[in-house]
Amino acid sequence: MQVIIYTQTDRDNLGIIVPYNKPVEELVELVPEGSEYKIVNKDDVFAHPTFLDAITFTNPVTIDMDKAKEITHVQRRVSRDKEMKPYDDIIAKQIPGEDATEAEAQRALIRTKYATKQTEIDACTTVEQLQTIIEGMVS
Amino acid sequence: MSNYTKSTDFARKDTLPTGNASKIVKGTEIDDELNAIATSIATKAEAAGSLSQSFSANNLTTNNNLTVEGDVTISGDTTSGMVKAWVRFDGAGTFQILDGYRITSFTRNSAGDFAFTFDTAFANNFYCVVGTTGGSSSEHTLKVVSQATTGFSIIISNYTDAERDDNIINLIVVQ
Repeated sequence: MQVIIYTQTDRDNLGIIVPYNKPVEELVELVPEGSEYKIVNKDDVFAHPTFLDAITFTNPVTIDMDKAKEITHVQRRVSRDKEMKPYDDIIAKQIPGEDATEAEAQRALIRTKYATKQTEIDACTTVEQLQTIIEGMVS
Repeated sequence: MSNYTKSTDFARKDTLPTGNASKIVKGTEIDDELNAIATSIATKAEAAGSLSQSFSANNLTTNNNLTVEGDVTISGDTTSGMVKAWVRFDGAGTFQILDGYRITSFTRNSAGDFAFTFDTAFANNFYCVVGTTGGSSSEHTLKVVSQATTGFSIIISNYTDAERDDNIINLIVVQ
C-alpha cells in the first residue's frame, strides 16, 4: 500500500494520509494548499511508529535521528516525572507517616537513573537503540 | 418489464361482412396474443410478493411496517437519526482503518491528531461524532475538535494532556 506524506506549514512533522477503499492518487486533493507531497510506501512510513514525527520528506522515507532523539527525550521526561510523582507528593504535601528523607533519597536515585538515560539517548546512533531505551521506560 | 399490448382487434372482425378474409379468427393471432400476455406476466412483480423475485424501484413508500430478513446495503444518504459513517481504526500499531463505512482515508497530522474523510460530502456539518479510545491505555481521552461536511478531526491525549497515538479507536457519526 502507498500513502501520502506532506509538509505542514504549522508543524515540524509531516502529515500522513492513509487511503481506505479509495486509490491514493485520488486523495492528493486532501493535501493542504501550499504543502508539498510525495506518494511513498506505507511500510516505510510506519516502520517505527514511535518516531512517526521524525520521518523525513524523502522517498524512501527514513528517520531523522535528531528528531527521534528529541522524541525520546520527551518520553524520558514524562517517565521521570511519573516515577518521581509519588515521592514529590510525600515531600510537597508532608504526608503523615511517610518518610520524607527516604523519599528524597529515592528522588536522587531516579534523577541519576534518568541522567544516565539522557547520556545514553544522546549516544545512540540507530532508531532501534532509541526504541530499546523507550521500551525500558515507564510509559 | 414489458407491458401487454393487444395486437389484433377481434371485435372489429365482427363488423366485417361475411366472406371477408379478415373476418376469420386465426390460430396464429390467438397464439401471438397469448404469448405476449405470457411474456408480460413473467416480467411483472407479484402484487402479493414472491420470494423468488428480485426487482428495483425508483422510490419505495410503505404506509406500514417494513421487514427486512436479509442485509441492508445503503449506497446513498440516509435520513435523520441514522448512523451516517463509522470507522474502527488502529492509530498506533499498524496505522490502518480496520473497517469502516463511508470513510475513504485518515490523515495523521501529528501524534494523536487525526482527520477522517467521508466518501461524499454531507449536506451540512450538524452531525454528532462519538467514539472511544484507550486500546493501549485507559488514561487516554478523545476529543472531537472539528466537523466539516467533508469529514471531521479528533485529538487523543494521555494523562499529561500530551497528544499521542493510540491503538484502537472506534468512531461513529450520527445525523
